[in-house]
Amino acid sequence: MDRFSEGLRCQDVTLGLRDVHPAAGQLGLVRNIQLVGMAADLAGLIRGRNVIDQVDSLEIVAAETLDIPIMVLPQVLEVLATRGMVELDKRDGRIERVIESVPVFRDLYTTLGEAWRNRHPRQIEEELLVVVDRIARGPVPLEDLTSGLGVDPADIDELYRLGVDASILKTVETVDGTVLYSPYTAFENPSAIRQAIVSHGSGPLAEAIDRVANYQGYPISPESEPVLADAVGRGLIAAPAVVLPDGTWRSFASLPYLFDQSLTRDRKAILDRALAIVACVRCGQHFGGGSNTRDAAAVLEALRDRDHLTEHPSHERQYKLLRDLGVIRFLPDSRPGGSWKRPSLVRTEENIEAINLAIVLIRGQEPLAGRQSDEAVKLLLGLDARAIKPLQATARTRVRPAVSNRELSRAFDILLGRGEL
Amino acid sequence: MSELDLNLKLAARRLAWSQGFATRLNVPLRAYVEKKVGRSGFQEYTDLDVLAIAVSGSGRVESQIFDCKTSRRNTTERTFWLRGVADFFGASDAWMLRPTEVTDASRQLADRLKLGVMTKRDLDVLISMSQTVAPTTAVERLFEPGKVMKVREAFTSVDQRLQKLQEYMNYDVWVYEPYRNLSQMVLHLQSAAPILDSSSPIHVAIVFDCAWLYAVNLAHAAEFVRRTNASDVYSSLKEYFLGGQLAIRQQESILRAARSISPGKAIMDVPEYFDALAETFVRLYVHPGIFVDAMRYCEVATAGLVDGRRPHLSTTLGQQYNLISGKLVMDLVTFLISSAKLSPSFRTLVKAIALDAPADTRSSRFDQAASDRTDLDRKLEQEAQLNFDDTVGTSELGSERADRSPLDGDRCAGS
Repeated sequence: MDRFSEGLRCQDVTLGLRDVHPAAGQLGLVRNIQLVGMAADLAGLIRGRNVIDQVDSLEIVAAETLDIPIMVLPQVLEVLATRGMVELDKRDGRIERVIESVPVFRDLYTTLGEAWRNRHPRQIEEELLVVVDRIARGPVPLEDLTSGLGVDPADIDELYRLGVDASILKTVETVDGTVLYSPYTAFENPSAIRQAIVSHGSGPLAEAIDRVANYQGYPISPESEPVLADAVGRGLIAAPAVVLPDGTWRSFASLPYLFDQSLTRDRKAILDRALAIVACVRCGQHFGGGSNTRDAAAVLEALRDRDHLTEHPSHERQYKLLRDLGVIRFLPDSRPGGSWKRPSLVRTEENIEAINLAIVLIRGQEPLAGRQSDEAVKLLLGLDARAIKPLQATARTRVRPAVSNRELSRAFDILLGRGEL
Repeated sequence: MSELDLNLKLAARRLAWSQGFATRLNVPLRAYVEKKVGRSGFQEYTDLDVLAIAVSGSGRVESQIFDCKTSRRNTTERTFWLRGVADFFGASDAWMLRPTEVTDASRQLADRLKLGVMTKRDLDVLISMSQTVAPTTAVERLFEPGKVMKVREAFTSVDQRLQKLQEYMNYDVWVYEPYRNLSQMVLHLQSAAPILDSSSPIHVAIVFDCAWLYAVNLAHAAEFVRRTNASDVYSSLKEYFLGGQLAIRQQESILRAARSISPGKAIMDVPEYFDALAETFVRLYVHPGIFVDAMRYCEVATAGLVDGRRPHLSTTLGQQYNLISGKLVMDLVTFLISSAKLSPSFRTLVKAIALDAPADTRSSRFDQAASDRTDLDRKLEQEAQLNFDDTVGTSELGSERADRSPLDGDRCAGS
């Protein structure tokens, strides 16, 4: 794994660990991941603030919005300080002021990946990141963790329990055994995984999904891609269909990895539009009619940044889906007597977000949206802590799971001398 | 520079400062000419008595120049001359300042030529209209002839080995295209790095003065980025830094040739400090007003350092101090220090000056005297400031953590 992926996956794991009780003994195993993941969250929160002299405000906002316990915040800040992203002014050992220099252009996650590496992580932490990184590309059978990913068999149980408890790993039981997938993979209907595996076997399905994950907007024909066509048919994978020049329909499958889970729930309309946009430009790339699109991302950038695209005979067919979804409107041909269409973006906030997401997917990048605190939260840092305190009472709406019974009984066993020696 | 001229210049400076401008005195403009025996390689056109720079809300760099002469003669001719100088320099506004009177003809002419004409009396009226906050002692230093002369003398009598840097700061920076100064300043500071000593207040003042000049050029860069590609700051800054698209193509062809000659060597299209420059730039870019704040803070810091004081801007600037501006001054100077590979101890000092860092983060010998007395209550410190400086006397500089108003100078001096 490269340092960028390591930094990124630390944040993924940490998001899952928010649901694990802070006193859970398992957290000790992934201390470095959690510290670096929290550092990534915190860096996003404070970036651009320059100076934070209300450290008690930072403590409260970080605790409330990022689940960074107040007692842990100094350690998280130290992680950032070791990479030169903050400077801590202290008096009598207490942090009085944070001087922020989180990079804007330089890559944050590579730097944090290096920070994680320099902390000499435990073997199980390395294994956890490898697994999380692997399932970001699609489901993987549990038995493949040792053979395919090199996970130590002695760590499998611990890894599995930790991953499932923290909701970092989702599982589906099949006749072939347990299959792991990521909660951040935007399956349309995750429960359809089981039937798809039963029909095709976990290996072929994983391979097919891998192809989509590596090429968003993958064109699917039932003849050449029977497994993917079936997965789309079962509603497992989203694949908007576009009309080809010969009048037939073709599906273009996408399976993004989304840290921002709101895109799969209350803001799903944006994801649907993004996937439709991806399908339409992929259609132009593979089945353009007169001429194929050479750079699909460049077309989308032009659609976003210019008033309209120039007229083309295939536009009306190719972008009809986007017109129906309200993403674009067709402007008439600018030439006298012309009948071609010029697509023009309907400039709503949602459409712009959808087109930006589509550009990221087309480029084969991982969407980073949702990994930083929004501006409203950042503004809280400028407030006096006394003004923020009421938020502590109102914002705590999330149900915090108590220590699991298994964890508790295990701890008692050890305390009473009944634990494994 | 006659004493009378200086008083007029300082009056103009006070006006510009009260209007929110950053200021600079005696800016010479010169041209490079062919070197011949018995002739230096440049000839001076003229100089700007007072240059004032601000950045508008839309990010445009605005400049005013002031022509300050005590002589009453030739005001009409001088008006034409001033129009030419203003056009040559690209000044947004130009003023002719005379102590008592100007001819009626020159007032009319000034209006036709879109210039300003004023006597000292006009100037006092304008100052009273624009000065909403009484300047603190540290700011007043910018308008006191003795202190200003001290800065001038300190900078002209500096170590001869810094002459090249001084030449650049005094002359070349105004001759080069602003985009070139983003790299030229770093290069000149790099050359001076072995000589610049953080224990010398004059040297620290020079670094702050460099930051003043650099901020002007960054403001020009910000204007370019805003006008051309506001959403892609990094690429746009890179284009500006390299001198525009044409220059980029030219450099790319040179790089191709260089790489074919030495295929194994990594030859970068921008210097290694460019990423750090972009990081510093974007922080200033998002706050257009900060450029001028940064320059004004550097002005105050420079004057204070030359006067033997360590100016803690958060206290010496009083209500005109803004914490974010202070931090960004630190970022700007820190960029120059790191890119030019100056001694890291400069950074500690700059932080103490720009941000008034808490005591236990200070470590350099420059700050030792200050950290010895940090347990004192700030108020007590203000009361006892002068006595304390005299008593401690261990640092090369005094300290200016507490500011005095011009009115309480006698009380402090006598206490």
